[in-house]
Amino acid sequence: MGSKLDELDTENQGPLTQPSLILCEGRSDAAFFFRLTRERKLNGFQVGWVGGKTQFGSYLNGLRTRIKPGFQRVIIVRDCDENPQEAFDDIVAQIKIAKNHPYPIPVAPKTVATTGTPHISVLLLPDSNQKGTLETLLVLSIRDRHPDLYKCMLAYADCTGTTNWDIGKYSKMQLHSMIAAACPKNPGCSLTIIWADRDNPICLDHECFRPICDYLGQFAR
Amino acid sequence: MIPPEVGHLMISSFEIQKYRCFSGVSAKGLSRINIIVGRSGTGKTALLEGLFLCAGGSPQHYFNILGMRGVLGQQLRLESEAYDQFFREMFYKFEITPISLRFDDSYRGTWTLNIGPGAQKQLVSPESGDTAIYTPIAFSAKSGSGKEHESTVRLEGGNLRFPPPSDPFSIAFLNNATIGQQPGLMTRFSQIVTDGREDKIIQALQALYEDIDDVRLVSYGGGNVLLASVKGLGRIPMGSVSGGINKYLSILVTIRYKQRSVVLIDELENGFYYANLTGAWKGIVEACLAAESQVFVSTHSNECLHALLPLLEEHSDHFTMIRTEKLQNEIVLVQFSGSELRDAIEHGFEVR
Repeated sequence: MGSKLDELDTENQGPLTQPSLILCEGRSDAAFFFRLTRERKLNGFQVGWVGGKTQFGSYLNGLRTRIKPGFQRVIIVRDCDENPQEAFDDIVAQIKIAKNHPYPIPVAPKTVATTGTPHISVLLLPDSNQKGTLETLLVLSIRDRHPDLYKCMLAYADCTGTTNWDIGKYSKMQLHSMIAAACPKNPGCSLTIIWADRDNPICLDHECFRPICDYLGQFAR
Repeated sequence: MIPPEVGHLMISSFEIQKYRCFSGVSAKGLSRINIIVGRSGTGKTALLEGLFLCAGGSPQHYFNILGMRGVLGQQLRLESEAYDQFFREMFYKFEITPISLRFDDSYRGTWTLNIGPGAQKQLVSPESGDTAIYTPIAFSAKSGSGKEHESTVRLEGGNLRFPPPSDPFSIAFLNNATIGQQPGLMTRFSQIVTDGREDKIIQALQALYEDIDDVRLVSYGGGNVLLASVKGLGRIPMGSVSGGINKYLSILVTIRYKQRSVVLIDELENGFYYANLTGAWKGIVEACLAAESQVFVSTHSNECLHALLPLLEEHSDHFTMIRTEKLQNEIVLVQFSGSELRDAIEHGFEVR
């Protein structure tokens, strides 16, 4: 377990050894992409996280100190939350923070800006035009493998009056309720370490992750 | 607090060709505080030396460098073969092809130094009377005012001879071998005391080492020595208080001694307790801004870089980082702004 965490830190802060960096909001998102790319045998990716959705700009500004020949692209991953367009516009504004060595600016999600190096693209979750977050997808992946668990969670959500929360918070509530119920040895298991838990209910080969894998696949080695 | 930005910058750009490990490197858009990082053997110290040589424009500065490296012994008596070896390591790939050093001073113009083989000369051994042919090394310097100066290093009776430097740029090179013992330290401190400017230095020392009450220059054991008044211990030589404090004093005195000078510091971190590094940086930056001086600081230490963060957050425009890197068997310089360094450190990146 400890070595996996160390491996994530090395990916986030150490030398860029792969041609592509998947840059996420938080450590748990990065842990998901770390696991997904390995499970789906998508090679050539390194993961990183910025520490909150407002920190992409400063991370990219500092990232210049790690860039070496052979490094090709940054794939920025952000949750759509309630408004996909606002989420994309916010990323674009942050990319522009790096003024000394400007990055190219993508015109839309899943397009690749190639007018400078490294190339930049933005991947919005759950998808380019859908409200929600990474957790929205993770809930879907659990739903089909554990329908009974999902049904109980919906009843719990009804009972606790959380169904009217915004989709981001609601997805988080759904996901963590189901993880808690599925992981008796560690009900408080976080998304960063759940991948090593044998009771992990998240199904990474679920169809809901196909658009992500298809997109990343074009950059895989 | 750090005073407001002052306008005059010293070395704004430089170019080094065929000196030691550098085939050809350059940097421009330099700052008040320039941090040099890079793996061992990629030329951090050689870069500082190149600037020092160019500023001095004379063989004397090369001998000073050899002294700092511990290469130069007491004896300067040389035969013709030893003469070649003496200078060979200055040249790229040890081949005596002309070295070209240049920097632009934002106030005083462009300074250049070309070093290369001069016309061959005959050497007569003082011991045996045998003769030999050798190629003297010539230093051709041009200062920012346009003044030209030529120094050819000759061998006479086994001794090296060369004219004294002319119109040198104000520059000092501090490394771990010489810092604290540099010959000019007492003179500089004495001048600062005479000018009544020592308070800032004492305050900076006290910010790091609160037990120090005062520092005085006194005659001691046949020479001059700096004595510190230390709470509970009385007056003791600075070097006996701590190597780190002696080093810090030496840095501050060198920076504050003369307005508009350049100070080169090799491996800043050595001797400083890690928790004092931010305070040490603060004192150095304040001294640089007050004296309108510039520093080039090399470091291997991540702690030393992380200790910069509070200053970078407040004044990133004062900083530039240059990393020496080996790329396809050539050394290159990669340059970053203060804001890039700040953000890299904030995100925990390995920038060295």
